[in-house]
Amino acid sequence: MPRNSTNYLLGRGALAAAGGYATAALGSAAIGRALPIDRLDATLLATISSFSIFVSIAVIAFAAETFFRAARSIALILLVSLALLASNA
Amino acid sequence: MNLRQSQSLLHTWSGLLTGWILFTVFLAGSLSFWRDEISRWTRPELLPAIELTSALDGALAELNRRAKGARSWTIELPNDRSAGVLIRWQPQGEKGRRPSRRGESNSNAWLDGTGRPAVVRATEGGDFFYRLHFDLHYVPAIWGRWIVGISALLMLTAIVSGVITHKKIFRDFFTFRPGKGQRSWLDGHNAAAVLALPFHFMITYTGLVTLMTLYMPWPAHAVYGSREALFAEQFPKSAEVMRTGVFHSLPHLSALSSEAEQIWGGGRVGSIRIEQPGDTAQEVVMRRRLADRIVDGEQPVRFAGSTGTLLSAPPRESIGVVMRGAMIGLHAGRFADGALRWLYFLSGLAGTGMVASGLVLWTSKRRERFTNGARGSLGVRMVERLNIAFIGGLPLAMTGFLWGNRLIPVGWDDRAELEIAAMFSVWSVALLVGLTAAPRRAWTLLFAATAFSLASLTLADCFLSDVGLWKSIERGDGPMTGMAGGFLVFALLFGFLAAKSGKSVVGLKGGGQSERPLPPAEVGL
Repeated sequence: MPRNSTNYLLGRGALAAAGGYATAALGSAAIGRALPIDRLDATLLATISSFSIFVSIAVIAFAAETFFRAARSIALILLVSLALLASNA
Repeated sequence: MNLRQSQSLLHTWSGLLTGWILFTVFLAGSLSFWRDEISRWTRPELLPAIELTSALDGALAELNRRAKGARSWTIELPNDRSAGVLIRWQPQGEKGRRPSRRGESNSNAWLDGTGRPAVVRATEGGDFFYRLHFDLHYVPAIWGRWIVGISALLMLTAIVSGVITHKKIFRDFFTFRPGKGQRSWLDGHNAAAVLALPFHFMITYTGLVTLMTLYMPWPAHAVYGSREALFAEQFPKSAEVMRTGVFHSLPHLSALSSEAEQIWGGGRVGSIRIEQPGDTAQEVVMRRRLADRIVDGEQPVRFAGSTGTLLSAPPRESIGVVMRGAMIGLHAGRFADGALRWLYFLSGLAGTGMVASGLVLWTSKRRERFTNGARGSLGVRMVERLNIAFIGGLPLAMTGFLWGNRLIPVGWDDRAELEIAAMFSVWSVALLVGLTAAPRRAWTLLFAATAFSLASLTLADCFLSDVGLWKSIERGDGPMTGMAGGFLVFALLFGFLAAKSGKSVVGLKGGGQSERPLPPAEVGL
């Protein structure tokens, strides 16, 4: 594998793993708090949804044109999740 | 790098990093669809017939004889596919600890379907493959669950990115070019993946859901403050039953189980637990058979054992609870009968084949870059040898478990653990073969050994147990005939693989194919 592919893979892979898990964790926690249904149902449905969030972020991390753009998109989603989480505290 | 190329990279590397774990998980998981049948095969002393009333009476009598004054008794009834009644008990003062799952401890015993004590060999049976599927082995279960969970998450990623990679996904499915080395592996990989794609997606996602609060505890933390607080609401616990010291006759289980079945609206009792049996404070918990419905949930019903009064009905099943239960139920497939169970099993095997062909494709693609005679880089050779150890070695090792079950003397201490040791010993030998022999020879050797092991096991079992092929046919015992027949079918399959891997056409050897190399987007970089 060419060197630039190795760098690409390691950079995007790390972004997908760390960004994916962080976004899934914060995003699902925010959904759990925001859903206007019984809190047990909200928590379970939010936890179920977390894995979809992870995969979407992983796809974004690899699909974006540059590493910077991928990181920026993921950071934006993270911030929105954080705001949603905080506003329902 | 365009979208398809980037997704191809994601697909290739998430697949490779987790491939060997996923192969193990897929194979053990597929076999677990026959967990009850494997358990029956490994405990040939038990036959499936059951007489519920006499089984319950016998269980109570035996528990009373062996564990009078215990803190709790549990009776596990067979379902339509399993055999024998398992009784377990917990001595006073032993708080909340579930009986050890490793080996047969001295606090459980088997009865036959009519409630008479049975001498049964100690084995983990089908539970071993079931546990291997998500706990792995020889590592703490919690590590195993994390390793399997991370692999499953990457698998889910590999599925989604794999779909994006293959824009011609349906044409791929109808394309098979046998005997063309790497191209045949790609076609096979695509076919196994696309054929059962909805299954692969469902089984991976729902597999994550089975342990979701372990992997993703953050919604529970955000809403409840902790996982424990979530569990307290999700699985409400009753207060510990305290012994009064006043004797009372044992509860009427038949009457209570009919009442529970009425509450469930037609469900059947799977297990019965009596807390502080024989005391006037005794309480009875009836749990439902999981095979009753798709949604996974035992819907426990609690009665006062001495009066028969209903103490607590099953917890409510609202949308989130049902969603989680349905996903877990879809994963485990306990509800599936007949044709549907076969579909589960075959789809699981397709998944196993998808992972295996993907792994082989990775090496075969890279080997073609080297001219004939070159040995390839260290990385490629390592992956190839690990492929041999897992894809060739694990099935052989599993037959070692089955042979261990038949050959280790029934009276030996720790024989359940020895059966497992037999499996891992065979696996170690397979690993050694993979590391030392020439790759092509190693593949052939391991596949041929698996075929021979299964064929000879089927033959030997005609003399070693009552669930061998002839006796099972004579008895009209469908499931056990199916087990023996299944061994033979797999023996043929592995014989075929051994014959094929001996020739270069399947590309296991790699190299030597004079054809246009595939564009990188089609095979990953």
